[in-house]
Amino acid sequence: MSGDDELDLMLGTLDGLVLRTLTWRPAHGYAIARWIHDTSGGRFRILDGALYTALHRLEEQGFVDSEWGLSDKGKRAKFYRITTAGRRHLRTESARWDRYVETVARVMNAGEAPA
Amino acid sequence: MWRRYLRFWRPSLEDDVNDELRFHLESRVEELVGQGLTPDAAAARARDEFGDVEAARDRLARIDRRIQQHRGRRSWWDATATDLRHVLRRLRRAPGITVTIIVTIAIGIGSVVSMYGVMQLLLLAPPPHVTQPERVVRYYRTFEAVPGQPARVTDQLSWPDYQWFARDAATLSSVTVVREFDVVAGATGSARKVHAAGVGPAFARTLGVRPVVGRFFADAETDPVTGTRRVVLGYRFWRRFYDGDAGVIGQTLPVKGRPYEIIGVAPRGFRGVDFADVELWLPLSVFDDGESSPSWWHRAAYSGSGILTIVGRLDAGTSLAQASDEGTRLMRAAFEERYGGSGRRVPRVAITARPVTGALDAAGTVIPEARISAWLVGVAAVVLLVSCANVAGLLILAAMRRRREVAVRMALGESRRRLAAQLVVEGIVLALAGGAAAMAVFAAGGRWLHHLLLPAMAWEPASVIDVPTAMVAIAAMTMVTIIVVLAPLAHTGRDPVSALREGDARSGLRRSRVQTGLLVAQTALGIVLLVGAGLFVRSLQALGNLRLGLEPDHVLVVQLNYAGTGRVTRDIVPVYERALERVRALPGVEGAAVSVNVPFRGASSAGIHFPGLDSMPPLPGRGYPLVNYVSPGFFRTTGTRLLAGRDFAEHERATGDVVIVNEATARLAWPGRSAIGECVQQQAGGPCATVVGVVENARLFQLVDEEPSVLVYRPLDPALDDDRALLVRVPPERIDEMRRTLWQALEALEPGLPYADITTLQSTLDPQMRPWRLGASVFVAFALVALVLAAIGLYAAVAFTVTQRTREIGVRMAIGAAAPDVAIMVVFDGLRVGLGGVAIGLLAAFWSSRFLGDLLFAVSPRDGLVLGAAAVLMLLVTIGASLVPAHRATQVDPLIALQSE
Repeated sequence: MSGDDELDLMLGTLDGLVLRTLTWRPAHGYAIARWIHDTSGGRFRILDGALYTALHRLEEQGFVDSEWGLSDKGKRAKFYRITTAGRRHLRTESARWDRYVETVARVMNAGEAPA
Repeated sequence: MWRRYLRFWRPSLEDDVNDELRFHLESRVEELVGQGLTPDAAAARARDEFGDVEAARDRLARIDRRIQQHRGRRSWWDATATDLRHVLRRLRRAPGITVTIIVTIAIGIGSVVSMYGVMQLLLLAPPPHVTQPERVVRYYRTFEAVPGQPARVTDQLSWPDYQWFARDAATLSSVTVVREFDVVAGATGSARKVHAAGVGPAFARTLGVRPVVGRFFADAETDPVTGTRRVVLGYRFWRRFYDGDAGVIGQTLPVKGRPYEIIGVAPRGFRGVDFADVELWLPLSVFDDGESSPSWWHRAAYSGSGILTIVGRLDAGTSLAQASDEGTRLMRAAFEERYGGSGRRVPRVAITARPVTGALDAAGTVIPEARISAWLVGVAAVVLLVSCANVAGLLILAAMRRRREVAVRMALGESRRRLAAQLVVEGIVLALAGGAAAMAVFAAGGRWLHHLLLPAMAWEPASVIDVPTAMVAIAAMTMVTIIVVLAPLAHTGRDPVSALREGDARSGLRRSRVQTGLLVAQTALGIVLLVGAGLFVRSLQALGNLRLGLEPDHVLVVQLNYAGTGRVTRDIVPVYERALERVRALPGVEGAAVSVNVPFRGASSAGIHFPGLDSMPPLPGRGYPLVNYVSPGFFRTTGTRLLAGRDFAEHERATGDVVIVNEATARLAWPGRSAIGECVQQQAGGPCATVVGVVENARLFQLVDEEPSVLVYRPLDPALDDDRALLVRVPPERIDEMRRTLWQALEALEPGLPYADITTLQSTLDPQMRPWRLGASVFVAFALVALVLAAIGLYAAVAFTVTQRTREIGVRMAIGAAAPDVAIMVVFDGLRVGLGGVAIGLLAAFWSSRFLGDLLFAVSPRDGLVLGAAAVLMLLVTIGASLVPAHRATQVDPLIALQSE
């Protein structure tokens, strides 16, 4: 998880995870990082820097919006919200992920090829 | 709040990124400390989980900068598009005001640009296709005043004059001559009269003009004696008759019946140094070509007979003054040589070189049309100012009507910036729409003015909308845009939006004194222009009712043209006689005759003696007796009444012993008694011709101010070897149809006839009518514009007051005022302003119309009917303009009106 290659490889997936997180409610970057960490049981080891890069890129692509607001503890924080385009993007991405997972699973679980 | 505002406008991306990351790291540290780690360990862990903070910071800032740039562009467009949609919706909702504003702008800009375009063409623009036109000059000769003869200026110089210039003028790099004339061109049957120019050597070189096809003449080709039969086509002629085919070079075009070889085509819009459209460019030798009598004008012996305009190109570094001085020196030397030894007095002459820019007549003074056009630019500028004032009034009215909407939108949190931006967008939309409509006004108005001022000129739209005219258009547009954008803002003071929001009487929205003054002024302007229009129309009427002693609008004049056929007048006379017989039998012809002279186109003097009248008293009119030879039926044809006696009989045509005299002659020779049977001699002791009839005095020279001359009509001998014309009386309403019928009849009668000139007698008078027609047309047009503007201005002002007094009107209606009462109240509001304007306008017209006195005909500049009609018309317009808001006032619902404020 430290090389650039690996990061790039993970990028699409990370985008999906971030967007998914934002479907429930707007959140700031820290909350998103914690949520992904907690729901994945800490199995993904994602660098927070990469997470922020993903967030800002998503904003550039128009999939999320940002706005400054106050956190639970009354501190100024940047909140992200998923846009309509973001939701659409998430739908296609998760469908593609499902197909990917299903295909990988089918190959992995197949019996020995007939001789 | 302030910092955020600043950040919004001058954002610091780095600060934002830092804040975001700091929040993240602080939150993480806090949480880890909560889980029991030491602050240092927590910080180290947080950084470890984050990765390279510095690299992330840079990366994020880069992404954010891209986002921001993109958004800046997007949001400006989005906001403008939204404003535009909003403004268009709003304008559609009040179509009356929108259309009125656009029309007002269009009239204002359109009239200024049209007038300026014409003035530019007449006074400021050099002739097209002349290279370095500031170097090209035209020579005028002044004969200095001598006792009994005032100074005389002319640009008509002679061929020998030109030869002196060509040989000796050191200030010129090149010099040429040109003369415009009408000539018959085309093959038999399709021949027509065209406007042409005969040009001398170096014509194209002197003007610096290049043909679009082929070439111009070589110097030797244009010599008046040895020139060749070659022709250069005018651009329009080429397009019209040859479809712009470049293959015309080498083809033959008959000119005066002789074959001329086409060698080139002049560029589009090229008209030499004058204003008329030249259809053919020909060598000087064309003047002598095909003429039976020997030529004279280019001989040294006739050096005083000027028919040519000399045009020169100044050498680099020489001035107009130097050219004039040299010209004077050369001309004086030439005159000394020509007349010095003859014992005759040598005329004192001077030469003036003038630029070719600007419409000058033969005497070198600016033509009246050009002066009038310059004056009209001023009128049009006033019209533009009035238009702008009215547009401002209309916009303020529109803003008033919208004030509740503005309040609602502000309450909903729309920013002032947006509201103001919308006013700006609205102004620009209106100004652009008005400008586009103005181009339509310009296209129509420019063509109309052009037709009015310069009927004979080639009108190439490209030469009318030139750079300076376009600049004027842009300047006018800019001015209107600024006014349209600023008017609603300026009117309501420094803080427009809050004023609009409050929008009640207390915010100072009363009709100001300036506004009232403006309304009065434009009503007055309308009256002055209406009075001018009325006076000119009455003059035209009076001219139409003038008893001329003949009816020019009933008469067609036929002149047969045998140029190039080699036939002499003696052969042609019988053709006229046969044509007379044939034409008399045509249905629709009410009379026909032949005569030597045609009224308004020339007259002959004659010797005359009345036996018994020993010493001839001073003759009226021209001061010498005139004669015309006419066939029987002449008076019936021209509509000249026979006062006593009878017309000639057919059998008297060859005898010549009878005459008909006009009333002036009868009065002079036989005062107080009948002239019938009296004797008229050509000279004392000559044979007697008996007076058989007396006819009324008929005009011979001009439309107005002509005192009748002594005129004797003699029968026209069919064998008389003299050129003549055929006059045909037809119903005026069928004149065009009869012209064609006549031509067909003549063609059938005389198949070899190359061309017949068939014109109305009236057309000879048209140039004399032009000053009145011009005055009437221009004044009527501007009066209509002024009426429309006054109506719009009054409408806006009255509607404004109605909107402002909605509450008051509501109260009145609530306490029982009937709708008609309210309407009358509103109309009276308009009438008060209108009456003031009419009163001042009448005074102004009364005072200023005396300047028109000289231009009018048979109508007093203070004609009561005209003044009264103008006043009534303007008051009707005032009432009309007030009726719309009056109707609106009666629709006020008291309840809503009272709640609204």
